[in-house]
Amino acid sequence: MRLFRSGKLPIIAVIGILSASMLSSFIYANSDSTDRSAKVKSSIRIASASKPSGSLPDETRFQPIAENMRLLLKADPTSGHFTVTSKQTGEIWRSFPNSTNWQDKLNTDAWKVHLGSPFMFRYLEFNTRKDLLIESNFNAQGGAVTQFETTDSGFKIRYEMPDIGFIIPVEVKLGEDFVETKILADGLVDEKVYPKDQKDPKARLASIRLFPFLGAQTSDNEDGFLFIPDGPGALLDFKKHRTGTQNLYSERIYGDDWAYSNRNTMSDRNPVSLPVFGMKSNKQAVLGVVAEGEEYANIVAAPSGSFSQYNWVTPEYQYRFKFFQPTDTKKLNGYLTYSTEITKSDRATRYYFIDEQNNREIDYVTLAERYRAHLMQEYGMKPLTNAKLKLQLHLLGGDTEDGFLWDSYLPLTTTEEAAKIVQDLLAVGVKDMKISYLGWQNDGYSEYGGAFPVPKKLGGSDGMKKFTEYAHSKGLSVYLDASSYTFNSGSKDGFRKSRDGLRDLGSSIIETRDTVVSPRFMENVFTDDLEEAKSLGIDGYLLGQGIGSVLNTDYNEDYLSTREQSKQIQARLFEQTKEMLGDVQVAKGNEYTLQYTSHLDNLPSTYSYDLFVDRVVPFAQIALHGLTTYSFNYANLSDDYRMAFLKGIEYGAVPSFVVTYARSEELLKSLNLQQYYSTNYRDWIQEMESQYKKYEEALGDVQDKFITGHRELMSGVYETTYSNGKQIIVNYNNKKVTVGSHVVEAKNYIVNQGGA
Amino acid sequence: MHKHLGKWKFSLWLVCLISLTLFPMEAIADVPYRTFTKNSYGRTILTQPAYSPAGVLAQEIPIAGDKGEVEYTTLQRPQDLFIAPGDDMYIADTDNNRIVHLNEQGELVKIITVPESPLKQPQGVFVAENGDIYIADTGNKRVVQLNIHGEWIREIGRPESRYVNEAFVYEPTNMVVDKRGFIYVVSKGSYNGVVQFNPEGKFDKFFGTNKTEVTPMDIIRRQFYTKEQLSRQVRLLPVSIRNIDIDERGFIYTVSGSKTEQIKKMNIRGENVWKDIEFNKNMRSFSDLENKDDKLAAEITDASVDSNGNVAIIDKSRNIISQYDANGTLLFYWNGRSVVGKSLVGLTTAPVAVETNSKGRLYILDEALSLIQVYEPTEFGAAVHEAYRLMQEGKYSEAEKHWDNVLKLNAHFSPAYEGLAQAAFFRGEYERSRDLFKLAGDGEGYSDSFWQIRLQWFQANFSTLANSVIIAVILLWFFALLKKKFKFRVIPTMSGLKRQTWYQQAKHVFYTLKHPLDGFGDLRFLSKGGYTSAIIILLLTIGTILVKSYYTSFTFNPVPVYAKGSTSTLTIFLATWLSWVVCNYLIGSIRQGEARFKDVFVGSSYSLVPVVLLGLPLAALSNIFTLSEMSIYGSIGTGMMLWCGLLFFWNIQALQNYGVGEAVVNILLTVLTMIILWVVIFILIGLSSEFFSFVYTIYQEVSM
Repeated sequence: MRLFRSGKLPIIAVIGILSASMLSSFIYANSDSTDRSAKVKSSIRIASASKPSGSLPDETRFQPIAENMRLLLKADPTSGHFTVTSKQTGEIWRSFPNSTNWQDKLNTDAWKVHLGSPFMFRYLEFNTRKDLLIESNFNAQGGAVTQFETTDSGFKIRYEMPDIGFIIPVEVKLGEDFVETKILADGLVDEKVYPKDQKDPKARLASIRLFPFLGAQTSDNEDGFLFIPDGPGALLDFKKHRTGTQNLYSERIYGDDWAYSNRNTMSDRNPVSLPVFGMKSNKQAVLGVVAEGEEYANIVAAPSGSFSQYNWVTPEYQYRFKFFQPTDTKKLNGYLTYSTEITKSDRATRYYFIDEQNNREIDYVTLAERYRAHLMQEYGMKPLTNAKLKLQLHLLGGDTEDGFLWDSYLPLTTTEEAAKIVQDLLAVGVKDMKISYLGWQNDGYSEYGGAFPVPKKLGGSDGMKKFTEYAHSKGLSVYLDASSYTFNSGSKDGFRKSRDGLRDLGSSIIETRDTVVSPRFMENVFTDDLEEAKSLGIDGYLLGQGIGSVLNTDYNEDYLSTREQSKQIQARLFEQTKEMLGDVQVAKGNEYTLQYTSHLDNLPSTYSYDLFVDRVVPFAQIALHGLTTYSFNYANLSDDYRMAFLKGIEYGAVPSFVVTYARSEELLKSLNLQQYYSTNYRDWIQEMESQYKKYEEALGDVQDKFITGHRELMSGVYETTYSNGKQIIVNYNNKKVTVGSHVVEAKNYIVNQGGA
Repeated sequence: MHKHLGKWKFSLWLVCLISLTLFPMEAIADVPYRTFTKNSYGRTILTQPAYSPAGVLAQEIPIAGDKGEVEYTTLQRPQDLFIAPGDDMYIADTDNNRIVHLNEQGELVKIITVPESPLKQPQGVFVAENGDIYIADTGNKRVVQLNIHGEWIREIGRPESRYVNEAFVYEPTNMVVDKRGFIYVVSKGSYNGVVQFNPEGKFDKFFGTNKTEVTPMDIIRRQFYTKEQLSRQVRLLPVSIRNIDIDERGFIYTVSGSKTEQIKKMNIRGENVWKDIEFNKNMRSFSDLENKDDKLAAEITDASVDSNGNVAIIDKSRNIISQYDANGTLLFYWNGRSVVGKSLVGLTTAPVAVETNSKGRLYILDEALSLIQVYEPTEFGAAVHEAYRLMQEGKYSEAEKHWDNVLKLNAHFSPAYEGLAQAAFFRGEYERSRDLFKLAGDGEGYSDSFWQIRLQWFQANFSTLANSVIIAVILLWFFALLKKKFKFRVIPTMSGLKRQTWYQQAKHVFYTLKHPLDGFGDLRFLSKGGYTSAIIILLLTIGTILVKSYYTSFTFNPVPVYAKGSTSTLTIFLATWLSWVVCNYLIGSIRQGEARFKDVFVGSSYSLVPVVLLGLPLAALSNIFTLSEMSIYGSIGTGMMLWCGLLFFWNIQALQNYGVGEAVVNILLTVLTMIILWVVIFILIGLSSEFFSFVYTIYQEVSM
């Protein structure tokens, strides 16, 4: 990034560049036209569904299959649908839309068929067009159930669609308070052998939405909501009037896969880190958790009025993926297509059925509590005990700066300075903190690869040891940020771009300034370094990015790894870190990391601003509070400081800051620190102290308590209740409000000690 | 190293626009767009949002249906939004042929359709101070004036005047009314300017007519085309005015689709205060990423002035919202990626009108989403506004604490350093202001501060300085006297040295400076120079260039802290010099020159001596000079270059044994050859990289 400093830049260079670029433009001119056509966005065609009429299955034909204390499972082998009845309240959940309030004219013919089908699916005809998805469903294909057998706790069913040659085997199991539906990889067929004289369109499966309308309801009574896992959690209320007809939420669980990123527009929304969704209507609710193959699923939700009169939310299991196949090394030309190989694995979703208990109205808190129980049962997460509120202190170590003759190290917080910061914080009364060192690695924050040894100018390994000893003597813990292993900017760690880089489906390396490292290669380097990390006496790592947050398939021949395997690698790294160093934290972590981590860093605190979202609720926070601690974006880099603080108080977070000892201007010397607007700790020490004290006062004694209630009292006023009865009421409005006997000042909050 | 993933991806976008992968800006912030500003080097820098989304309004308008039930309607291609002094909103709901009046909370107050003379495609609405509602009833080609209750007052039709010719199309799209009651009407596609009516509704004059934009191509055409050809050309007309706004002080702002001066801030006489400002210059938009091949042209549709004189500008096609202060300085701009079929709170897709209310909130009417996006200033945005406002009023020291606050929130926001520097300068803290000006990247301010510091230094040390000068003069005089009397040498002669070749060669360098033609001739014919001395001089030159660029003061060499690398300077110097030597030798050898390659190399190296001699003094001088002594500094620099140039000329003459004319021809040919050489090199690089990648691809395919 060096400026051409000399004012007298020789004309020759300019002319040279001009002519070269002209030449290259000639070279590309021809290829441009072919490129255009490739850029036509791949779209979705709706398969014609003229024959089958859309109608919902007849509930009287359903036979009892299995039952337990709470639920009764009935199924109908003809239509391939099932219902679940609560023995206690008599509430019925159907695998198809509720027929009450069905209005013929509000649904198009195509959608009527969709609504009556046990599943919808999308497929491709590779011999017709490689990039065009065709949307269809079981009924429209004239499919039939060819096999139906009851098992101990449910049934196995085989859906066959002879026209297209697809066979979908599904297993439905009844559990204590749930039903688990599973598409089995074994027996799944999406090929058909055509006789020689017939042309094979090569129809192949792209995705399936199994029982997409499970529990689907219309908005006529306006008594429910859809829950989507966007940010902290977002609700789409059942509304009769909703503007826009294209309101669709579809996001991939654990975010986009970079192996298919080339030329694909990646999502702007918050990535889905918890594979949950849900729906509540009147006195019943269902919480869905994608339990197997979630890394290959999307969460799809549509409120009534878009597509049909029903509100529905469902997982969509992906089997083939869109990508841009480049036809030259510069990746400029090429065409959009789908992967030809099917990605097969079992895909299961668990539907927890919730009905009203003790006349307490079901809301998102009920759903979140069920999810909390799921995390405890399935992942063995334990409630915290005697947890104290700790300020998350992030220290930015250093970076590389552009030098006059060569690049040099830019120290921002040396280990000695770090000790001073901690000392000052302790002196002003910030008693407890978790310290995470960022940019501690050898060449600083923006240089990846070759993390060890800790650079001399930062204090070296000895300095780091001293610092951790100092911190331990004060009862504080020190973590190193190790998410940098995701990338490599040079050749350290024996890394060679062409050999060890993550490759996408088109076999090209994903790189910009830095290269994304193959997960398997990364695992080796990471594991090798753990010993050295341990010798520093640190308490653990702060992981993130490619370790716990971003999940990619790797098509590098030497390190082949599916998304599922990458997930396992990441989980292994968490396990090893925890074993070796004792503890681990994660930034923007996915569900599979939760069982290892003691703290979740940088959780998103807002939704993705979709216009169709009606309410933003702390679903994730209700589920997690008391199991682990969490913090949002660094308070000193907030977009809106007061709002971010209030949000933290409302959502039960812990305060988090990122600071440097160096003055903030020093950061101007590196172009890679642009997002750290203001980090000088002297500027923030007062704020840190006051936030710590306020958080401590409000949330200090509920760190190990569950959130048991959360509601909006009036516009912009929210109340959070903890299991010990403590209540926090936050007022976001610009004027004070009166809640019962309490007055809450504008943009402020009050704490109600429990017992009331 | 906790970059958030999104930020990582985003910085990719910033760094390399050529990047082929479309990484999103997912979850990098709490808002669905990114806010930027520019530092004084013109570099785009990221800031936290200056405005945050505060919801949407007018998504659905409830109206009473036939049977008394409430029906919900949406806006249809709305074209204008106006916020009246009481913060009530008026929307020109064009395709619904109505004006929608909402209160501050967005609740419906009334719907204006003017049943006695129905509106047709109204595109503009304005409410005067007395509450009169003016509607640009585009479809009916008139302006309708209603009273505060929506009752008919009058209509203003086509202007009648001898200045308005037949061809003039009168289709009002928007208007403003000033305090005197004059009405300024924008007519669709009119190049005559804004139609100004007097309070009686009679045509007064055309106001704020734009200039015709003439491109160099037009000038060439006019020179060479015949009359007939010219008549067939599209007539060059001034760019038409699109929109209009007025502020509290009576300045009228017009919006045009021109290349510069898109926004004009005009006083009552129609004089533009914002001369030659190109708005939204070089701003990057997410839309550029999607359409890399044909970037969208900007389409500025509206501007709105707040009570501090800050102007918000919206660009419909590129979706950029920018804000300038009352002097036309860029404050921020923001932009997000809008995706078809996905509507987000806070993200516009086709903004057509912008308004500011009394609380500083921004309201942006979106034609495609058919709703109003509301933004409110964040703490950071408000601090920047306040600081700029105080600066405007000349209250530097009051502004200072706001700048401090801005810097506390964002240390990368370089305009704040400028503000602090000016405040420090104002107070007379010149050393502080000098350092701050350096951070702000303001060479001029740096120089001014330094001028003051130097002055103070002179004032403080004048007596000492004067005394030491006198003493020095006396000493010199005394020394000269002694020397005359005793005839001693200052430097003793060393006979041993004379025999050393390097000493001889070094001495010859100075001889060459004094007698260039002879000196260079001796190089050729008496072998008084060699590769060793030439390379030493070359290295010295490189050293001097490095030292010079490192030590030249900020006044004369303002480079940002993040870009102090020297590699490019060196590369350019060496590449130019070497190609000169090669080309000059080649040309010389085919044009009866007598120089060997060695001679050209040595001669060209010796010609650089002035740089070695003068470079360091020049760098030293730059540290005591200010911009007011620019002429002295500049002339020494130019002198140095001229001297070098002359030495080059003489060395060609002497070494190649050319006359003046031949030497000139030789130089021109050398330059031409250098150009050809570089073109060839670039072509070769281009082709061979293609070739290598081709071979590599084959290798990959075979090996796979």
